[in-house]
Amino acid sequence: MTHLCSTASAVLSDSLSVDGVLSSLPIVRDYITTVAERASLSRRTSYRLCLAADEIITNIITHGYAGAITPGIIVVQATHLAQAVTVTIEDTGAGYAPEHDNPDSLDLPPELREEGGLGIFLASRSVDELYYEQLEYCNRHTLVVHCKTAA
Amino acid sequence: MTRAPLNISHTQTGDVTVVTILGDLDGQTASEAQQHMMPLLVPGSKILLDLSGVGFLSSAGLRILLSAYRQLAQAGGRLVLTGPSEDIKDTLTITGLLRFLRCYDTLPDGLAALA
Repeated sequence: MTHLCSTASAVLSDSLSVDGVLSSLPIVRDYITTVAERASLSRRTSYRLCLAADEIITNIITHGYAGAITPGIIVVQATHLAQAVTVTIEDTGAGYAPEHDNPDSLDLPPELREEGGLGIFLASRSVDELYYEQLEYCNRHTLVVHCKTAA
Repeated sequence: MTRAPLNISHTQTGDVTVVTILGDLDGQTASEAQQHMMPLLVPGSKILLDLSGVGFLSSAGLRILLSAYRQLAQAGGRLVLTGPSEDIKDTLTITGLLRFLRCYDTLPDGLAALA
């Protein structure tokens, strides 16, 4: 298994390492779907976990690795511990401060909204917990869904 | 699992342009969908966007819907969505867009709304 940071236990699958390019998005969604099936998550919870991971990785590619001469690497790992499935996403791109708060424009009609700003918001609303850490050698997003609410 | 590439096409039904999207709308495919749709968003046009073949919609896909809605709203046109999955309806609800975008379960209902 490949890890950019520390290793995890109780893995649901080998880690997935992909280039930080947009064509990697469906590969990661397939990986998440497979591990969600192994963890017996509901189809809806599986979709939401895929959506959260997709939004995070899109953000890494378009912001964290923006301007990179060669694509950076993104490592995804799923684990099933106790009552939760946890997906970690690690990258070595530029760090950032994700905003989980509701965008101000949610109550506005589309014609009055600004472009963008929904990705991290959607990710945070699609999983039970979302954490972001800037570690010494990488950035790590941690997505958690509680199995007891996934039936 | 091998995914089919995005397939987007359009047909004319009376004065309504029916745009059919098959595949996933994500950060990789959204620009292709936008390029296909842009020439269709002419002043006064009625666009029905059939999402029944869309399996996944991220915020990148949402931007396409928002962009089309804005452009048509400014030019006296109308946009209707049909056939989104429950997952996609969830996404539209979470982002507050289901309150503003006209969304119907079936194509005939969408066409009737634009009549």
